[in-house]
Amino acid sequence: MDKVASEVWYQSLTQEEEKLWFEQKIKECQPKLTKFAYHLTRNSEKAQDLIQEALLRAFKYRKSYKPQYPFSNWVCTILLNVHRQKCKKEKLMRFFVPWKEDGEEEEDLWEFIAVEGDNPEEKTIKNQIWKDLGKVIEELPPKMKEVVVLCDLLGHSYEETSEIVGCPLGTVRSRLHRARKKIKQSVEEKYGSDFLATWG
Amino acid sequence: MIALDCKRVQEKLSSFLDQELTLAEQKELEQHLNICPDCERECEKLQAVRDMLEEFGQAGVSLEESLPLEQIEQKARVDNRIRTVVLSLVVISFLGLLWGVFSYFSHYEPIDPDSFTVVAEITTPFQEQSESGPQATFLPFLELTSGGW
Ligand SMILES: [Zn+2]
Repeated sequence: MDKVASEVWYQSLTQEEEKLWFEQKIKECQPKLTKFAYHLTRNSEKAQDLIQEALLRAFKYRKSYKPQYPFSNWVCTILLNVHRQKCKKEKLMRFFVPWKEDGEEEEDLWEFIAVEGDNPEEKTIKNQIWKDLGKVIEELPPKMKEVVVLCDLLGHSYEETSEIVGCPLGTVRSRLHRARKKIKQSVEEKYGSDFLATWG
Repeated sequence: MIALDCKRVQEKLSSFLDQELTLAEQKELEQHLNICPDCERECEKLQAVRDMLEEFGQAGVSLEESLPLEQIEQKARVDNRIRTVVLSLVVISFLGLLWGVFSYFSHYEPIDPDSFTVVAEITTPFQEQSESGPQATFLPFLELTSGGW
């Protein structure tokens, strides 16, 4: 019964209608997808590439989407897989071409983060904090980073995160806790141990 | 006893803050936090980290209008073509390099001075022998035979 319900969504659609349906769905989850890609890569060009490749793959495998799950989570799963593959490739490239530096590509994300508030001084400080925080997140082990981005930055539940990342709930729990402890430690090293007490 | 309890409590603090524990666990932790200033302080700090991350996540990333699917497909096709051309260029130049290195070393071998002297040592006595050899061996034989007859 479930199987029929999950497969039925595209059966009555023409190819043109399928395309329209897909475009509509993509539009709805675009903000989340963009954020996810930016926080994973911290680079606007890489993020755009990532989104593009994920969307192409999603469209290609659109028939495997099960409507009982949120569409955005399904696309996030695909995007994460593409990201992992790209990271593997990059690692391999760095092994064979170790002299290639890509420091220049970093830190362009910060043009895209809008800081709210009128006070210019406050804005500058916040911008610096976001910059440092972004770097701390970037330097986390990849698996911790995935969980922090999904849970803390995008606001997913543990259960959703475990589905997207493809690991048990308990693993999400412990990875997230370890990641937050690491972030806490880095922030305290940089801004002093009283900094967190004054936050918020 | 208390130290062990604190460790167990602190490991669960993130889940506690996210309300991802069972009701009983949630209550247990609350009770401990009420009587343990160390754990309470740790909890407050983790809460601050959590709030900070949440705010960071909500800070806007500029959103580009989503590309229509056809445009994305077209762009990917062009990207693919470029990738194919670059990849084949890399492969061709690598093969060329390989060929160059191979042919360099295969031509280099005869010029090797060591092998040259070895060749010289082998060939000179042989050549001398072949020049004078036939006379030295053939003539005495002739003399011998002719002398014999
Ligand atoms: Zn305690």
